[in-house]
Order: sequence, then structure tokens, then C-alpha cells
Amino acid sequence: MVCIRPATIDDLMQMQRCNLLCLPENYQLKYYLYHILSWPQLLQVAEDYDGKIVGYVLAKMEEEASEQHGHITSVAVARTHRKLGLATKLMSSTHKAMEEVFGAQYVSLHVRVTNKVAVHLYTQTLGYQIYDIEGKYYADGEDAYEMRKYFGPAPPALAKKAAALTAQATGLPAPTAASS
Amino acid sequence: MSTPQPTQPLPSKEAVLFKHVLRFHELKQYKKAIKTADQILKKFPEHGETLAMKGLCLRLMTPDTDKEKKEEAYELVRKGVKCDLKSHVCWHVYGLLYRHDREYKEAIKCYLNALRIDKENIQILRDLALLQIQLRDLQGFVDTRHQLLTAKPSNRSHWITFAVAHHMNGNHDLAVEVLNQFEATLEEVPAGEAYEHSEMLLYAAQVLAEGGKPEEALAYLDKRKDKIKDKRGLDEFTAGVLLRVGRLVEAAAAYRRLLDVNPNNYKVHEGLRAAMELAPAADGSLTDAQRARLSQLYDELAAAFPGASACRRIPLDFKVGDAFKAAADAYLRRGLTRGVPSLFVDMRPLADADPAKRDVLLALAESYRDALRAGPGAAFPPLAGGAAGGEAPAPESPQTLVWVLFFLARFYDRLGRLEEALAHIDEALAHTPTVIELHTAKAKILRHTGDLEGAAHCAETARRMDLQDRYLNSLAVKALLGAGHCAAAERTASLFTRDGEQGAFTLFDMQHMWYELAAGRAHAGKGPAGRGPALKKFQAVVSHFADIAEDQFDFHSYCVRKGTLRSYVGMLGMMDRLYGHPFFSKAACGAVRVYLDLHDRPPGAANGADEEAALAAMSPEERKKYKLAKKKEEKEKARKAAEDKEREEREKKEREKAAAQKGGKKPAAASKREPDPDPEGAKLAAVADPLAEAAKLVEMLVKHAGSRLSSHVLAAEVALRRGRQVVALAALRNAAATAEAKAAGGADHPEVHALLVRLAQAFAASPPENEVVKAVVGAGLAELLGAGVTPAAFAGRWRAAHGTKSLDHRLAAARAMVALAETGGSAPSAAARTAAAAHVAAGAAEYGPASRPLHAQCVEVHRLLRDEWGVAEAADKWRAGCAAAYPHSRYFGGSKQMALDPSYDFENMREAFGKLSF
Repeated sequence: MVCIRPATIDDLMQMQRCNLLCLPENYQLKYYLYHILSWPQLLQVAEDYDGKIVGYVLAKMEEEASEQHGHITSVAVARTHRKLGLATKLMSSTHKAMEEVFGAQYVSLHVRVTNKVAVHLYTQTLGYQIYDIEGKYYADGEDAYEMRKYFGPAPPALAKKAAALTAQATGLPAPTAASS
Repeated sequence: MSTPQPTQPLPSKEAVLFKHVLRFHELKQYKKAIKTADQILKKFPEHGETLAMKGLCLRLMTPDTDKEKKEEAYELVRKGVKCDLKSHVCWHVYGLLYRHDREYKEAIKCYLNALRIDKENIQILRDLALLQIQLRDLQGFVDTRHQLLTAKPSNRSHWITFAVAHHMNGNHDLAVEVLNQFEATLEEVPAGEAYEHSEMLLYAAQVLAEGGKPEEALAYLDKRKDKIKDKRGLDEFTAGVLLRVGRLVEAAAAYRRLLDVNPNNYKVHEGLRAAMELAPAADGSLTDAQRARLSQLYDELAAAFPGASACRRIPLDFKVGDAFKAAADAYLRRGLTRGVPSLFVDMRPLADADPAKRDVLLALAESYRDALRAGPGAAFPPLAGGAAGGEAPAPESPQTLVWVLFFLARFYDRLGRLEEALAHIDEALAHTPTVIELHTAKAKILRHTGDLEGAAHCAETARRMDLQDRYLNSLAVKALLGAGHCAAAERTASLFTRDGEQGAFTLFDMQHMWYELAAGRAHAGKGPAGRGPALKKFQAVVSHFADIAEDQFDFHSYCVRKGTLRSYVGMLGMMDRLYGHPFFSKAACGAVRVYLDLHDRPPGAANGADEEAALAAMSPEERKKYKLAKKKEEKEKARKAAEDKEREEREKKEREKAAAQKGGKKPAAASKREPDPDPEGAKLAAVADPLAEAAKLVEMLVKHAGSRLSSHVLAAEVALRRGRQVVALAALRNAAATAEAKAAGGADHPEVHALLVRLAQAFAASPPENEVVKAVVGAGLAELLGAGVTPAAFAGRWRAAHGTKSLDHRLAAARAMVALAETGGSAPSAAARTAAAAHVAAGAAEYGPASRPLHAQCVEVHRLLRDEWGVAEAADKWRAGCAAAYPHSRYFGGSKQMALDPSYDFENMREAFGKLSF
């Protein structure tokens, strides 16, 4: 079993542990504290039977921006718990909270351009599209895709470019029902 | 509000300069602040406030390691205070200085002095309140927040923080009262603050419920539900409270709404079942009627949420007999066909808890294996409980067999059937060697067989199959540490850190605690040479906890601004429990054990004699090995020193080059920080009084991790060595109570017993000089040992009753024998050591592959017999027994050691394979 639920403050150390096990981008505990003390509804965890955290989403709201929108800071699922659809379930929970609690128009995230598996998940399963390419976003010089998922209809001016970028990057036509 | 006049007024030009000093300080431009201060001090060398500000700025720009500069800063501030005792600024600055160095109690004193001069200074009151909540001086916090609210009632945050203060101080009614008063002052909540307001309402309801007014809490929210933004949070809270007050129908409805949002939250399932009176009794049992209703409920939920795995998995918990078999059969097939790697972990709790379910699961998996081994086109056997003559299952992909073998290998491993586990994983590997999980599973099984080197090899193979996957990197690092390859492990871990070679910095900065704990243990297992590095890692974890406790500081006012009060009080609670976290306990226990070892075997003292004794106890072959290893170690040390020097020079050149390119403006890039002055922990291991360091940690353990037996055991170990017999007695009483609470034998627990004997022996040999203390310890021992019972008789009786129950019991009995022979501080006689060692080694004959202590403990015992007690004969007997029980063990020279790939030369690895660009 893996329980998908909102994170509590007592999960943070385990989330940090999961992050350090799985991902190259790491943060001090204070950064996790900052997230849960700012947007407690946006952190979700996947918990195994023995209480271990095997996946999480760490997300925030970009409050300075003109359009209220959410941003995925970090998402991870332990290799041992793949093929269960955990990333999809975790992300969906966070999306829902962004929209309902904070009135987000859309959610954005960054992903390494070489991370084909993640790009596939975001575009094909979760309804994200590529809105931009940010040069040398990562410390090692790799570019990032700036991806977004609009909870309502995307602004037409942006949507066209996004559809083209997404199709180009994935070699697949974007799924027509991109929303929710 | 009146601010007192300055007692040392400055002329207008200097007054302006002083304002600049304050401004520069605010902007964190400390150098400029100091320069400006110096301009004032040139004319007015005794201007207190300027001196104080200069000192503070100096401290803020000085690294913590620079003791001299730090002292200079304190001197300046103290001089400032002395020159202008009546200045609240000086006292405030003095407080800020202490606060920066985390000397909170001193800081509070300074603030209180400042407030004596300037009673209503909002800034100082705020700073004081921050320290009070940080230190959990709750009454003081309430008082200060009351002053702030009185001084400025127009400030929203003053109301809210005052309410929080009452809540934390246990006064729930007042907290709600304050929030209600504040709510009454609000006219309309602007859209931009709707979230903050919603959070405040949910917080108020939480306080009501916590304060014993659940019905009021429900009514409170019902009246305000339109203003709540967090609908899911609202449902979760109300569902919990409704359940608590027994309004079950409404609770069930709320839980069902929550399932609509997320059907995979097991806590919600649990709540729903409780609301439907379907929760198991205290002993875990269910009635047949409950089972029937549960089946019905979950049939319904599975139909409503076809994608939710929870609705398929939960029935396996409550179903029994044929119903369980049919459900498990369907569940397993689905997971195996999809190749879900966690399927066994998912089933493990069922197998662990219920032998009948364990047997069913194992038999099902074995039946799949037997059917699928038939080759291409093979299918699962017909479904359990399926109608006879039903449709035959379709052929499976050949990969399904691999996942079945993987599942079975993990299962046999769990059951201790290690040979079968290995056979199955090898069969799977022969079938499809490219499935990475097979290699990591094999590493795990080999670890259990005692082949730590083989485990490291398999984990490294898995890592090399996907270098970008940090999870595989982490597994390899763990396995390398398990095999004692500390340097190789750090190099491998550092592949994922930004500063490559200097990886230890990033590992530390990112609070990489699982690594530090595992590395600390690995170093500690290396004997005297590993003590420094082990302390380095363990103390790193200890320092992370101090940093995390400090982290909360910034959030005291932040959360009030953000409105996230529920999370905030959650954080305060978490911080109160912080040092009870297992990461801290493990690190502190690890460090204490090293300190004890440093006390027992001080570095440098009689090392030669120790070595001679150790050599004498070895067989000729071992002696040769030992000497070779030592030579290698020395060579490695020399090589490392040369490497370090080369790197230092290279970096220095690079720094100079960079400086030249930037026109000498900035001497170095930020990443080129000062090298760690004690990278190998040599200074930590050279501590003058290791027991004093151990005592500090033990105090934390006893205070925060009192439910752990090891906290009290170590407290007793430290106290015995420090000659504090009363403290040792108290620690042993606590240990016995903890062991009792865990149903682990109370004072008869082996560790507790061995320590009791040592205390009794110490008391008999040299009782405390103070008569009162002596009487207390004497009475306590009489109570525990029995009046008039000698330590030897006590130990003998225990040995007869318990001494052969397990390896731990044998060890305790043996340790007691040795302790009793240590009369008057003289070393125990050879006869006593031989008898003790024989008592332990006799156990080895009883072990076989089905029942045996952990491999790591067997190794530890071998070292105890051979090195510490120097009884070669018993050590050999022990080794032979363990080699039979662990035929794959390299350490014990088992007969079934796996062949290794010689190209993985972990000890001489200069660079981890597969450089990454991170």
C-alpha cells in the first residue's frame, strides 16, 4: 500500500531524506519548513506501510506574479516505488489544492530537457505543455523546459507557441484535452 | 510613547554618521558600518552606542571559527555598554550579539535591561518575545505580547500573536476569546487576505476542539463555512471531530466527501471505517458481521474508484481464508504482470503479521513460478476460487516470470531462507540481466548472508547500469559503507554534489543525515583509526539538529503574517520533539560509544602493547594479512596527503588566476570556501575529556529519547566511568523500567544486568566517600540485587537462570564474569577472560542457517573474543561456528563465497566510476 495524503510538519525530515536519496537538487530543512509554513495544502506525500516516505511533492505559490499561479519546486518518487502512478496521484492532489485553496490560474515547473521520462509524464499524463526553454537553468549548465498547465483555458496568444514547442520536444501531438 | 534622551548626545555631524551606521547595519553592509563608526570614534572614542554597533557589525561579518575576532567584537560591545550604561541601544545591541551566538538566556537578560530604560520600545519588546517563544518561556511570552498589544492594538499581528501565546500557554478559552474580539473589529475581509482569514478561522476551531469544546468548534465553523478556502482541510477537521463526539453518520458522510477528493488516503479510509463501526477491536479482531459489511463496503468503493489501489489493497487486510486467497491471487497477478517492483514490500506486512496469510501468499507465488517456467507462451494457473471450466488465463509476457522470481527471492529472504533467495535471484538474472532491480535485490540478500563485499559489488553493478539515477547511487553508497569502504563511498556520493572532490561540504550543507549516520557507523567499525572520522560524521548530525532548532526563529513572526497558524503551532510541537528524532538518537548514541572507547583506550597510550597482544592472538595467516593491510593503509595515507597538497596548490593557483582576471576585485569565487580545519575529525578525537563530551550527549538522550533503552544504558556507562554511582544507579533504574515497559525483562534485561553487576562491583571496591551518597547507592543496590547478596552471587544466579537464552544473554553473563575479575582496577585474569570467552563461544554450536544472530553482531563478538579478551581458542571456535552458520561470509571464511569482479578495487579507487556533471 502507499498512502497519498497531505504532508504534515512531522514528514519534513523524511521528505528531505527521500529527496537526498533520489534527486541531485537538494535543500536544507529550512526550505521545506518555508514551504509547509507558507502553503501547507500544497505539500503531498506518499507513505509506505512502515511509515517511510517514498514520494513527495513540494510546491509553492508565486505570489508576486501578475497571474496567481503555483509552482512545483520538487517532486520525487523512490525508484523502488515506480509503476504505481504515484507521481500522477501526488501531482493531481497538489494541483487541486492550488486551484481550490489559492485560486491559481495555472501551475508551472522546470524540468531538465534530457529528462524524457518526466517530460513524457508531464505532457502525456498530467496535461502540461512547454512554454519556454530556459538556457543553462541548472547548475551544471543544462537547459530547462518551463512547463505549464492551465486549470482553465490557456491564453490563446501563449497556447499556440506552447503547442508547437511541446510537439517539437516530444515528437507527439499534444493531447487535445489538456485541461485537468 | 516617550523615548529616553540619549545620555551621550553627539554633535549633528556625528549624529548623522551614527544614523548611517544603523542604516548600513540594516543593509548588512558591515564593512561600511564599521568604517563609519570609526569616523565617529576618532573624535569620540568613548561613545558607547557607536562602540556597541561597531562590535555587533564586526561579529556579524566574522566567521564563527575566528575566535579572536569574535572576542574583539564582544570586547567592543562590552566597552560600549560600560561607557553608556543608561543607553537602551547599548543593551539591545548586547542582546543581539548574544542572540547571534545562540546564547538566548544571556540575550534575554540584556533585553530586559534595555527595557528597564525604555519600557515601551516596540522593537526590543518584539525581540524579547521572539526569544521567549523560542525558549518556550510561555508565561513571559504571554506577558510581552500583552504589552505589545496594549501599546499598539491597531496591529493585526499583535492580536493574533497574543491569541497564539495564550494557546501555547494552555489557555484555550482566552485564545479563542482574543481571536473573536479581533474578528469583531474586522469589517470586510479583502479578497487578498481571504486565505489568511480562512486559516485563522480553522485555527480558532482547532483551539476550541483541543480545549475540550468539540461541539462549539463544529458550530463555529458551520457559521463561517463560506469563508473557508481550504475545503478539504475543513472536511478533514470536521470529520475527525464528528467521529470524536460520536456523530457517526455525519462523520461517515464527511469521510466519503474526502474519498471523492483522494481515494488513496488510507487515513481517510480508516476514519470512514471507524465511523461505520468497522474498526477492529483493541486486539485487532473483527467479528464475522463486520467482515461481511467491510466486504460489501469495499466492493462498493472499488466500483466507485476503479483507479484507486487502496480500494483493492485494503480488503487483503480484513479478508481471511478462501476470500483472502481469491483477493490476493487477483492482486498479485495484476502487480506481477505489470512488473511492480514494490509488490513484495506491499505484501510484507501481511506475511509478517499472519502465518496463514504468509503461507497462502508464498504458495500462490510458487504456483505462478511453476506454471510460468514452462517457457514462452506460458500462462498463470487458473484463478483461485474461479469457477471450474472458466476461461483459461492468457499467456504472459516472458518478463512476468522475472518479476515472479524477484518476488519469491525477496520473500525467501524475508523468511531467512537465503539459499533459496539467492537461487531465485540468480535464475532471474540469468533470464534478464538488464533488470536493475534484480541486482539491487541480490545486494540486499548477500548482505543478509554476511557477504558485505559481494553486496557492494552487486550494488555497484546496479549503479553503473544507470549513472544518472541517484537512488542507485545511494544504494551503492550504503553498500560500500556496509563493506567498510568509507573513502570509496564518499567519492561515489560526491558524484552528485556540485563541488565534486569537496563533496563532504555539500553533503554537510544539505544535511545529508542518512549518509552521515551510515558513514559514522562504518568509520566507528574500523577501530581506533576510525574514531576521528566517525565523530566527525556523528557530530555533523548533532549540529544539524541545533541548526534546525534555530531555523524556527524566522518563522515566529512570518507565520503570523502569512496566517498559517495551524502549521505554525504544529511546527512548535515538532521542534519540542525535535531531539527525540531517531536521526538524533542514532548520531548521539554513535558519538557516545566513540567517546567511551576513547576513554577506555586513549590514543597513543600503550598502542604498541595492544598491537603486540593482538598479533599474538592471530594465526600466522591473519598476522600476514594484518601487516599487509597496515602497510597499505600507510601507503594510502601518504598518497592522500600528496593528493591533498597537490589539490590545495592547484586551487590556490586557480584562485589567484581568477582574482587576476577580475582585476583583483574579488579574491575568490563563493564556492572556494576555507578548507575544513578538521576534515578527518582528528581534533574531535583528541578531545581532552571524552567523558565530558559523552555526558552532554547522554543528557540530551535521556531528556528527549527516554523511551529508548540505549539512552539509559549509555547514561549508566558514562556515569560508571566518571565514578558517579548515584547517577549510574538512577540510569539503571530507568533502564530497567524501560525494558519492563517493552516487556524485555526489566532488570533481567541482559544489558541492564551486566551494568548492575559492574555498579555493584564498583560499589564494593570503592564506595562513594560521602556517607549519605553511600547509603543511597547501598540501599538502591540492596533493593535490586537482594539484601546481603554479593555481586558474584547475584551474577551467578542470573547466569544460571538466563545466561544461555540468547547471544545477548551469553554476552551479558560473560561481561559480568570479566567485570567481577577486575578487582581494584587491575586487569581481569586470563582465567576469567578464558572462562567468559568460552561461555560466549559455546553458543556458536547452536547456530545454523535457520537461527543465528545478525552477522554484524557475530563479527563484533569475534573481535571482542580475539582482540579485547585475547582468547584465541574461543575466538577460533566462534569463527568456525559462524562460518558454518554463514557459509557466504567472507569475514568468517565461509565455504560458499561468491567470486568477485577484481576490477572493482574499492580500496584503491581514486575516482568513482562514471563522472557526472552535477
